[in-house]
Amino acid sequence: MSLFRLEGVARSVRLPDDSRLDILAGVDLAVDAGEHVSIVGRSGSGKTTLLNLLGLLDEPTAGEIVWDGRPLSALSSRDRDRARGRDIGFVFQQFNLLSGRSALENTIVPLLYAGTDRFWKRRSIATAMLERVGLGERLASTPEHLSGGEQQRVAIARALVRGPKLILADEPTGALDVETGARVMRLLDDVSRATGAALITITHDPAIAALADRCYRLDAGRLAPERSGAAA
Amino acid sequence: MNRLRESFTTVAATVIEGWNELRAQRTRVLMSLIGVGLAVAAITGAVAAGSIAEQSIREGEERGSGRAASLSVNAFDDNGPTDPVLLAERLEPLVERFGIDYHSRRVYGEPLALESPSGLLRTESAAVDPAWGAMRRIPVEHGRWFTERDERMLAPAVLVDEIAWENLGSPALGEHPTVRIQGERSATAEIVGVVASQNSSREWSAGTVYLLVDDYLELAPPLDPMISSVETSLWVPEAEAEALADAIRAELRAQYPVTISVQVERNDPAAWGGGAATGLLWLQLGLVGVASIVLLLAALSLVNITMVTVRHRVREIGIRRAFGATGRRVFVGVVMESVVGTAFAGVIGVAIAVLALQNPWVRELIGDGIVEPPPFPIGAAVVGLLVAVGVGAVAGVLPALVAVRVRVIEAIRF
Ligand SMILES: Nc1ncnc2c1ncn2[C@@H]1O[C@H](COP(=O)(O)OP(=O)(O)O)[C@@H](O)[C@H]1O
Ligand SMILES: [Mg+2]
Repeated sequence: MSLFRLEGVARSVRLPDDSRLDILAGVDLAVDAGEHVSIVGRSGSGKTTLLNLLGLLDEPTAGEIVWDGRPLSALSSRDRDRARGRDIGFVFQQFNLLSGRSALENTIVPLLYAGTDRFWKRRSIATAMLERVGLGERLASTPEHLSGGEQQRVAIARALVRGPKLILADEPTGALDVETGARVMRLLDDVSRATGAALITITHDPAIAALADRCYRLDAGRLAPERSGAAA
Repeated sequence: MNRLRESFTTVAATVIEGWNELRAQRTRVLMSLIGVGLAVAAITGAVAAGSIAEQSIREGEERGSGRAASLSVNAFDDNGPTDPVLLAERLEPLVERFGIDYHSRRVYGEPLALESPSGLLRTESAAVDPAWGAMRRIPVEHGRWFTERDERMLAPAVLVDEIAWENLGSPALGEHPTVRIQGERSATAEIVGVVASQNSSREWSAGTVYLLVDDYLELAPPLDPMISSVETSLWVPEAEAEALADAIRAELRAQYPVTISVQVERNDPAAWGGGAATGLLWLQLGLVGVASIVLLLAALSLVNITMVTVRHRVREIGIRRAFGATGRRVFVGVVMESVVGTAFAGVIGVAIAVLALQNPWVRELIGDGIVEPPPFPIGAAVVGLLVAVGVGAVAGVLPALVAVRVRVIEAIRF
């Protein structure tokens, strides 16, 4: 059974002049547990919109998303909040760490909502995760004192700390130089494979896209398999 | 020139505003919490002062006419009260039979003279039974009140009020001071205690001497109902007061001829509705009114500040929601922030009120001459804390609603 399935998913928004903008149309996609998928596309092609749908942060205007065997339309917003916290980890282009809070505190955030056991062990769990991404020495550093690559590694630790089934990475190397980006991406790929999490990466970089098992291209709201990615 | 100054001011203000943003925020939070704390202190203090003053007023009334429930027993004929000694004799077995522990006579008798270093003191006399002290909460300042044993002693025991005591040269009670009392006959009595002065002023009175009824009857001329009046009181449980009054009245009536009318009636303040401290009530209402306005202003400024901080944290809230915080969690979190702040302010406010009311000067003012000074009324502290927590919760709701409506997608989009 697939981890999730998109069936004819569309997302449109109503603009202030009352016209309709179709951002996504007829998107079909099925991803299995532990599978790595990459999506490439030009700026404005709807990649982030798609990722918000996959992350249960948004709802499609047409079509259905089946998450873990249950249609999204059958879940309450509370159920979705819970499922998101339990099963999904996000890595953003701009890191989105809490400023002024240490690497450890940032990594702890998902554990605050993870139930009693992990709540009380949050420090040791988060510390272990930061050691795994090579930041065992920087636990107390705030984002202001970390390089871009280090910040993104904190973000990876945060995304993985609850052991999610799915990691959604929206241009995770977009704010990093090529070399740092490559290293961070390799780390993300390794750690998510080690934990068995599925990974969906949005990227501009063909080399990064090539790390995935499958590659898709998003063009004007339509999703299609990417031949060059598969060939590479 | 003016324009230049204006632009400079604008720039300076902007710079200073930016520079102080966080600090200013903290100061404003602090200011509004100080407001909450002071208002809580005022409300708590008003409630507590009210109950202390009420105690003081009630004690005053009870000294005059008894605690709940006090029954006064009288037997009159056409000429007035009948022989009190006979009444006491007839009452004695009834009191025993009905198991009434507290019963006492109070003779408003003839003056007695005390021999003092500076000559004879003509003091008022108050002849009572031992139970009288508890029944009327007589405030004993030094030494002790009468006991049953005093009734069996050969040398009479007496208490004097503060005025008489001072006139006698304030003898130390530890040294078992004695005083010579002159009436129809005279006797040497031991002063066992000093009582706070009751409605007598130093200018008009040389003081009061308290003595047991039997000792008084030994010293004083025979009771003349025209001159001396005798009050007979029973202190009984409130629930049984009416039944006991009826029973005793019936028993006594059976023992007197029909020409004598026997009355057994409640006469404590509670029986006629209790005295309300109206003047104090207005003061309390005023204090609570002012405190409520302060509280309202503090709450409004708290709402305002929390609003601002929530707007500042939209991105943070979005991030937390992306990592599993439910809407309810975010809502409660914001309300709690506000509640924790005001609860803390409330605890401080209650502490201020407690300290203020511990102050002897304040105590003197609101609870003059209380025999049993009540501890700080717990009810008042609870009211204060509830008010504080309530204000925090109410002030937190609006910002919390804003926080819950944060759209995650927009909050984390750049
Ligand atoms: N809420 C919205 N209202 C109006 N336009 C939107 C909204 N969300 C996205 N868009 C538009 O939809 C298109 C796709 O956006 P997005 O998914 O962020 O693209 P990408 O991440 O691929 O750059 C963009 O043109 C964007 O301006
Ligand atoms: Mg995007």
